[in-house]
Amino acid sequence: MATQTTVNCVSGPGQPRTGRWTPHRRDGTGGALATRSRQIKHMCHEPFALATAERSSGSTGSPVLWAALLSFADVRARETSRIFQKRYHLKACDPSKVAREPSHVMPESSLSATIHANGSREIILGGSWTLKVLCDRKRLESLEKQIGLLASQHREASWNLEGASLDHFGALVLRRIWGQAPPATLIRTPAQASLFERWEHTPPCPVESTEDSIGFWLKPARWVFETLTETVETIGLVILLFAKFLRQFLESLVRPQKVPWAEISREIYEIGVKGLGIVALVGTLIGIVIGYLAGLQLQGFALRSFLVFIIGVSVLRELGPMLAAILVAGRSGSAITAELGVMKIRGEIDALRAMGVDPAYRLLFPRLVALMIVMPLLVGWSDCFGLASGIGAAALTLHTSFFPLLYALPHIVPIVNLWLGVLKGLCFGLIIGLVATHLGWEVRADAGSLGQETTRSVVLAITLVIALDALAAVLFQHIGF
Amino acid sequence: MEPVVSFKDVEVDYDGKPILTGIGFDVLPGESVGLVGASGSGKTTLLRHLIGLNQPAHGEIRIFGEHLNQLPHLTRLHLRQRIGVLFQGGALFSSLTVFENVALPLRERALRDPWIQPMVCLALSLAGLPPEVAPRVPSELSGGMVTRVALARSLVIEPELLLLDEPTSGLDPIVSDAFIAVLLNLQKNLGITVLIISHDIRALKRLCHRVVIVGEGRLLAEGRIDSLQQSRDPRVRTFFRLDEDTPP
Repeated sequence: MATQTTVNCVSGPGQPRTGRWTPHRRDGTGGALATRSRQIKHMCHEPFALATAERSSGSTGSPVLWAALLSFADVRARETSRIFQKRYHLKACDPSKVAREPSHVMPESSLSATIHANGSREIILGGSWTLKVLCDRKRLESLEKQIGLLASQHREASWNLEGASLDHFGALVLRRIWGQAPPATLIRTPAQASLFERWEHTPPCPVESTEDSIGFWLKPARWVFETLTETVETIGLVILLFAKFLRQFLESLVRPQKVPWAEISREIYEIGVKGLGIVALVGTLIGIVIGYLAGLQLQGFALRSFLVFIIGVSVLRELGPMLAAILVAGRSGSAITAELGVMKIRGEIDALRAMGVDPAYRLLFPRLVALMIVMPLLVGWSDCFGLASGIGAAALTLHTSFFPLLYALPHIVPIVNLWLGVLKGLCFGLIIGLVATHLGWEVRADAGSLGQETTRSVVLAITLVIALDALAAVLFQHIGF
Repeated sequence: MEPVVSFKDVEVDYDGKPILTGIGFDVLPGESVGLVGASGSGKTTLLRHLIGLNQPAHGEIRIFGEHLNQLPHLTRLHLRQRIGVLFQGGALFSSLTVFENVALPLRERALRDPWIQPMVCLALSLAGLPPEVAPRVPSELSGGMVTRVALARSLVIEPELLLLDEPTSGLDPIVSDAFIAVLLNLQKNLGITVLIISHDIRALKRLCHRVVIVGEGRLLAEGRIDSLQQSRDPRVRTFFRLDEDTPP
């Protein structure tokens, strides 16, 4: 019968083992852990928190061997105890919690180095060597280090895996520890052998490098350049789409029976009717701000006609169209991009093509036409609420009556401002529609692209609307004053 | 032997209407059980209840001996990490590459890249995929490959229980056979417990030890396919005959 000394190393959360534990205290400075409760705590959390030397009963080994064994065991015991005391002392888990929640409990990974009476050394694995037990990063690193040390100390030792529950990850850990030199003698079950065999036949997979070769300071410049070129490209493609739409529009004048009236009607309802409430609300609020501030500024002067002119021109010419455009771009432009994007991802656009239907005519044309119809109407709607609330707020500020100011409006503000605002609304609607439909068309088959294009749709449409508004302000500077 | 999955008198409803009542069956460790039934009979809903995404209206569902819906949130998450699920259609993340899709469950476990990379390669290999697919995105893959990537993603966590929702639907017979061969190989080598929802009787015959048939809002029959085919219950007989008459 072999005399053996065993160094036990335990990793992973686990229930305390019974029967084998022999507290060991030889160095007088703490040595191995002494009490049962402490054992449980250490076993719950820490890799290699436990190290003991135990001697099997009835040993008949020589004194020299015995001394060597004890010395080896002591070194391991002191080392692991020191590691425990240094790093893990305060991290004790509650054993009662473990008992309450058995699903937490995994059998721990254990490793024992045994030296037989004939001098042969054997490293025996026990417990669970699985991803579930070993997946904790700190635990894994510590385990790797410690077992590597043990393996390097016992290069010629045989490894016995038969008692361990092993999965692919456990096999990977062992392969990493062994490195280029697997143990000469490996005792394992056929199922375990197949795990290692599978690793040997697993080819590495190519992963595209995400490392950026460009310098840190050049990244913002590149981002600006890429964004600009992308925007210019998009604007170019939007112009091309506009040309296509124009051709379809002319064709529809020739063949009105082919026009998708039902879709146009549906879009008018979705974009226009459902947007009436929010446009009215925002128009009212902005009108109040303009009327109130203008009223405060002109309170001490007899400039009521000037006040009406300010409110009238600002609402009819600028705020009405801009508000409607921003709201429609945010509410309907994004919806159009997302809807077309999802249709593209789900293959619905290809299905239309397969049925001999021109998807541009069926999907883009009705939305663009609807926006061109709806936007001027929404501008008029926004104007009504903006003017009424603006004049109302001014009247309250100046302590005058509402209706004289309102009746003065058509005489003070030239009607061309209204037509200019309505024309702007039509152009803004066209821009929003072209950008939204084009970017919906550009969505790639992934969820991230859908979000990106929807955001771009809103941002680009609003930017282009403001740019066009600025251009109109310069072009029509002599009109309507 | 404690069953891995246990349904006891479970009632499942959808929008408040009961669709399955009195469901009771067990799945033992290492066993492969097929869950079959007509379209809309509530198989996928039952699977969702098993994972704990929905709560049964009545009855008890146990998984690894635990009453999933009565567990604390964290414990439930730990328990789910022992289960690999292959959803109908794959449910891959479209904005991630194949590699990242498969690596995701491991990243959630805070493993480092040096450990993740070989595990992903192994999972792809186990699912019968060439390593070259790793940098591709799901939109560049065929339907069969998407299913295999989803299988790789469910295998990478070394699950004890594998739940498969119609894994062979939409696959041609050759790819379907290859897929079942992969599953058989996994089961033989890893001893995984498998619960599979499928209409593919050929696949079920090759893979499953037992089959559970649901229909008419309840459990119609349970047993080996061979013995169920001898059943005198006309509903069970019709189900199998119809399926066998379907050309491959």
